[in-house]
Amino acid sequence: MARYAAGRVLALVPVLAVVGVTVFLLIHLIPGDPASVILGSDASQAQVAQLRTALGLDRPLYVQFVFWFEHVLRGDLGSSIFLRQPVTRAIWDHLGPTASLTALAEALALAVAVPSGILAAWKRNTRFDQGFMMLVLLGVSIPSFWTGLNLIALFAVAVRLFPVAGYVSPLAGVGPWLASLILPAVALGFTQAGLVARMARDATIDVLAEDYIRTARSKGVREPRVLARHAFRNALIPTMTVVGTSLANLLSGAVVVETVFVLPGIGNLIVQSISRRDYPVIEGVVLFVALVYVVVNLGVDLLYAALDPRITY
Amino acid sequence: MRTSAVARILAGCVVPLLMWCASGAPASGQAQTGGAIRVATNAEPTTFDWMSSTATATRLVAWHVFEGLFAIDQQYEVRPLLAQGYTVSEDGLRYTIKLRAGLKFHNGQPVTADDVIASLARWGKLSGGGQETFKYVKGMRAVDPGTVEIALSAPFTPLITSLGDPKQSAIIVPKAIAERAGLKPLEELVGTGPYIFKKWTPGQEIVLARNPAYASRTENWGGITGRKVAYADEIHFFPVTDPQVRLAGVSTGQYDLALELPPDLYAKVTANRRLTADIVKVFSWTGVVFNKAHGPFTDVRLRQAVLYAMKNADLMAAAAGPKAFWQLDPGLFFPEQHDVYSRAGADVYDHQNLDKARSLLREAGYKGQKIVVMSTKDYTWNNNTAQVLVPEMQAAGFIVDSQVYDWPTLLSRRTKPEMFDIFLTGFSPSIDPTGVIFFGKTWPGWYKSEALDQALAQWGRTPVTALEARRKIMDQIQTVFYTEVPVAKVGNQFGLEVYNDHLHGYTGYFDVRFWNTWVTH
Repeated sequence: MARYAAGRVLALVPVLAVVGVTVFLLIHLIPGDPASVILGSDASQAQVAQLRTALGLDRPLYVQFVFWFEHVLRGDLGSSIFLRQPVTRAIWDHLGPTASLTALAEALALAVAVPSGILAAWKRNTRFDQGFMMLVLLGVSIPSFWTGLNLIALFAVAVRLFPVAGYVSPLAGVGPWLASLILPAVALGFTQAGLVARMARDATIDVLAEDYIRTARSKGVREPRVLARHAFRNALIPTMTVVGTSLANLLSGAVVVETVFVLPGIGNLIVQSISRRDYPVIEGVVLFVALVYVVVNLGVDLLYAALDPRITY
Repeated sequence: MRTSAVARILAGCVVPLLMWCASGAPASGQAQTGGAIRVATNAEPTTFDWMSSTATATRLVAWHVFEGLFAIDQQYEVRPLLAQGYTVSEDGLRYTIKLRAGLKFHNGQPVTADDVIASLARWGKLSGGGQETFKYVKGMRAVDPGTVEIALSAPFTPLITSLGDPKQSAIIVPKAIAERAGLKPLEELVGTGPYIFKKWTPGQEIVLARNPAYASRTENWGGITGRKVAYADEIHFFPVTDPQVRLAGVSTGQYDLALELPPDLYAKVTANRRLTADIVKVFSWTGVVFNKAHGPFTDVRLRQAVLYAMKNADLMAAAAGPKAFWQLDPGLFFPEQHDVYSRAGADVYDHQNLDKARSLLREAGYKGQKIVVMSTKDYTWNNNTAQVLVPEMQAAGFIVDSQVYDWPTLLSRRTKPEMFDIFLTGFSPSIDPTGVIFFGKTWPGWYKSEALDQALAQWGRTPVTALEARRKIMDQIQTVFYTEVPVAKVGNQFGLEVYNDHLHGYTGYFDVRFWNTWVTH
């Protein structure tokens, strides 16, 4: 297992190198530049050219690339043009809200989706199952920004239970921190819950048709125990695959939700950086997100072995 | 009899209750110190250096922190701010500007003539208005620590107006900071304003704190100058990109004021008794900018053809929605700017005549070349205007290729003459014809005109006190604008700011300001 993990970690290096080069080239090839954005729409061409020189953006692309790549190899992702801080620091500062949001969204999604998915499988083809499938379909179909805006209208404006937008650091109090995250986490977790619940239901239906379940039932094992001890654990493996891959997808969902709820997370950072053409931040964040994707997938693969003794590496 | 008894009982209960309320409730008419004003903005500044950037997001934060020698008042007239006053030599070549006594920067350092000279020198290199002004500046010297003398090579009467222009403003910062920043945006945010820059958490909030040592003027001029009292301890600017969320926040009291809401939300605002809508009339005008350096629109007749193809009311309805949010007006300036406003060109503006447009196309020998019209969806009004403009141009006989980009891409492409023929943009208020951005020869569109140069030169030589002569020159400038059509004006677009009953003393202006304003949370 350790050897397998080490091999996967080593494979990270070419993946990140390809991602880094591609992002650098793509972002520099699309039109728009930070100087125009800083100066605003009324700036003259001469002023833009003047600032481009001051920021070093007039140097040939290969010179800029070599400079950037050398620094990346040394672990230095450069400095943001707008934030006046190193990119690593910017990522670290924006990581807290995203980590909190995705963790809470995932926890809420799992807490609702897994039990209800198993229950729907058990009550297959009943009204409960049909209602459940409709909700699941809604979950995967409704865009998170729309869910978010409706949650704001309902729980922040009509019933003032939560703030409309904004983020409170956990250092300022766990209550306000949670209050600032509940609505965005529900908006983000709704889609996730739909995906997980559907997979949990389907996996449980498959498992419930297995011989060992029939054997357990014929031995007189009570139904709750059949579900909890025999069906649940075996249904968990395909469900974990969805959870693992969609956990990384949560990051992309967070881009939208963080913008609607004004959460200063990684998603917000990347959106702002793209609209400002803050090249070093875009490059740094994309590298970071690629790293998270690969690490999460590795974590899921390793978890299979822990959950299923039949799987070995 | 029965009615009067009920009335007496009610009076007995209600009147004392009302009196209690009146005595106990905070009097919103009476200014209160303390608290924090919370503002939901539509965008985060890309820099806080007001001299570097023309962006509104920069200006509305920065003008609480920085100040210039002169600034515009509520009526958009330039008056002294850090300056006590100024004198001009008889030949108009020497301006002596005296600083007010007791001025201090936020770091405690006194404001001196050396700081002014270093700041103005930076402004002369960095800002569009500064570059234009410094074509006339021969030199600057400190007469004494509180007096600066500016020597000109030729008379340039808009000098003081230019120094008070809120676009890329001639802000005064400590000499060492100005020199360290050079042509890059300021990183050390030390000004003289009523608020001090305290904290910026990117993506979350910008916090300004009251400047306890602020030396305010005493005159009630309004605008950006005159008496400024920082009642609130702090001002918090929150970047909230979604307008629905900004409105929701100001409705619940999470924010006190929400900036730049779309007109579609106006009905929701008026339905809420706790909210006040401030319709900002001196806000922006929408323009169709022609590429005059390359392609078909180097021919003035084709530019005129577009002008005659346009039905301005339809374009403005698409851009700004309800009639309460736009106005058809030919002025380069807004009607509220009495000193520079002109209606010259009203006989051409908003006079759709498709036959005339087609005949101009024929005269110009237009052979169906594809016209690239660039717009952006980043600003809804921008693309909405293009959606109406394109069929109007097609009706006149143009073959149009409508291209939609994100705003930074549009900003980039419009700097390359071979990339476009037309782009749409909004022009925020200017205060002097020498500061009209598209009159600049290097601004995208590349307008060069001898007639305009002559008119502007004449404007520059005419004393600011010669009102009638200036009015005639202004008419002349606007006539050139409608004859040569560097930009086809669509109409004036109004802004919508909304505040709730926590905010008091607020007065509308072309951008929001929070001195002389207080909160009762």
